[in-house]
Amino acid sequence: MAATKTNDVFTVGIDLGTSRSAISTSTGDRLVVDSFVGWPADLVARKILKRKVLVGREALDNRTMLELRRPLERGLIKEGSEKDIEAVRELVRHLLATAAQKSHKESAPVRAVLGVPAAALRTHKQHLREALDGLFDKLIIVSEPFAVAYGLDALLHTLIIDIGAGTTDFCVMNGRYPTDEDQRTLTVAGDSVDAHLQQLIRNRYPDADFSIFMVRDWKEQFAFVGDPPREPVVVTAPVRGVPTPIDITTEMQTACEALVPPIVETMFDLLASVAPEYQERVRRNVTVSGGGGLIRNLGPKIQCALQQVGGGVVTVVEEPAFAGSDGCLAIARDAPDADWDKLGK
Amino acid sequence: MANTERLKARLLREAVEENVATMTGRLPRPLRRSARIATWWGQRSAATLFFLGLLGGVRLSFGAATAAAPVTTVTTIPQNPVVASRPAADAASFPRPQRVSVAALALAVRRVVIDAGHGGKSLGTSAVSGLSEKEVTLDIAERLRVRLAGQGLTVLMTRAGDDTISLQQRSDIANEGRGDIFVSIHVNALTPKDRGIETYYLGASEAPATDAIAADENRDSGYSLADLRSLLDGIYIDARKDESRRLAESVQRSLLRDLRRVNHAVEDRGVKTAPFVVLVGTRMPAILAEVSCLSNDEEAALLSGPGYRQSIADALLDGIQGYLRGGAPDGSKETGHGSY
Repeated sequence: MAATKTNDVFTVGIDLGTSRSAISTSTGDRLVVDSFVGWPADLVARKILKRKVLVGREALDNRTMLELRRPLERGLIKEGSEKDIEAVRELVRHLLATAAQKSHKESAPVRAVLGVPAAALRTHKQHLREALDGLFDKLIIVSEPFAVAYGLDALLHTLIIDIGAGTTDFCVMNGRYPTDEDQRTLTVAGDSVDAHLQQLIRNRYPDADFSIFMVRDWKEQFAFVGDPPREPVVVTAPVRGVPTPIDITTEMQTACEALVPPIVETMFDLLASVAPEYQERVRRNVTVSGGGGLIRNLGPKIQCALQQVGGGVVTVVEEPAFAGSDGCLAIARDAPDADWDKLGK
Repeated sequence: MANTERLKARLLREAVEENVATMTGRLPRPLRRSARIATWWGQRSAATLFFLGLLGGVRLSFGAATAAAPVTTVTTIPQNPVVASRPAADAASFPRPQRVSVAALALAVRRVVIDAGHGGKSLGTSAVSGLSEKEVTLDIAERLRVRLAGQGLTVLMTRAGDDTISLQQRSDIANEGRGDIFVSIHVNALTPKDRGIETYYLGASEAPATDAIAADENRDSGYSLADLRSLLDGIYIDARKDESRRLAESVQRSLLRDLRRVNHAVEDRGVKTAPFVVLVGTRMPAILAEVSCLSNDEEAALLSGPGYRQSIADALLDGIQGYLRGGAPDGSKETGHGSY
């Protein structure tokens, strides 16, 4: 089979996330969308929206008129229903089409590398591959933290902690393709912070009316651990129909800090599995990526916890939202034609 | 720099190989699992050789019995005086088969049996609020069923409603449904101040599907059916017990890790063994998880809401997946015998 010339193809890296999905392309474009897909709920909605399907923020904003799906759970296709599979296809199709249009590569064959949670089983990966059949010319599926490590050239004696919405993935890079033993996945992640925060706010302000979407927006704007910010975290929510400012500083701190103990415990667990002579080097090369990396003070908090085991250095990547897709793109770019050809059509 | 490039090239090759292996249904060559496969095949070969050797040895020993005394005696089934007196004792010269780990079979577990404890006339324990164990276990079981089905696994429920099902019937359902693993969900009743999670497993079993094999082979071997069953039992029990323990450890660990997020005071009551009837009768790796305590007011309050029940179901799923991935969690404590 003749290999496709690399310069003819559109190469992309995709981080298919539970909350947000990002794409990075070989032409330098990057795009992130909310992982929501919606279909008009009835004829009236279709007439108003004038679209068969809406994706991302547009779907969220019009959710009252839509049959809305968030098709990914823990970074994988939720429960395998036909509708969720269709939603994942629409989501990826949207990412790809938008990126290709920006890059003027609409008709080019697509080579993609897709990141999935570290704990994804081979059945999950195959399921995903089948669900996305036909959208790419070639597809490689890799563990998300591995992609992050690859993109950062952090391939030897490093620990990646990728905090997404559905999962927090850990991966120790030992200079080999990570195996099950090198990786861990926690379900304590952004979504669990949202749920916790929603409960705490509801407990304190039982009359306030707010949705999980509002809570998520507040978290993304104000999340912090450790010392509270100088200005209290005050948001506006309707109380008996009247927009009312409510102080959620304590609730935000409590919900976000609930992330820390399981992350630290898992980090210690994984560090202990590293050969003793390399443990210090790994401790000094801990990298935090994913949306959770945007939580203020999280890096220092984890670094502080490392004092218990001899100290270390934690770095938060500069653009956590794109660390996964950039890493996937780096893999896609570096993979030689011969490797792509092994994957068949 | 050159080293980094070489390293990257190797990692890329391995990533692609894993993808190709997944697409073609092969187990990936570069992964450690392959080592487990080799071990598994070695173990299977040893077991097969054992059986062949046993039969061959029996035949040889009959032939040799007239000429020479057997070199060794059967020690595998010493309780059986009939066998002990037979020259077929040569079988003991074969190495004892090692345990077979399903960790080597990444996709071998396809059918999970979920047993919602109690039901119908059997309320199980109850909270002060009146919430009964049978309600809680059924709801968690149903949530777990949805999650497992979403992972592509076939799920068999011993009860789908408020039905009275005997313990024997439960294991019959699991056995007849040819489940690969069995997870029984219960809620504990301790003193009001006690709380926590404990997971049980059991070793003893009846040897399944061996009658036909034994009958065929026994025709020429000189062994009775019961003799061969006893031999097979020894091997099967080891494998099943080992797998049950591994499953119990994985589930216990996931329950603790995930539930501590929402129930900080949850206690690790450990992985234990106990003679639960429902575990005795099942012919597959089987565990019984006491996922919380209804006798503790705080845990009872948590169990009354859907959120905590979902967390338990998710944690059980994580534990099962951890087991399927072959993870043998460290640090789980085995604390002896519990009670039923």
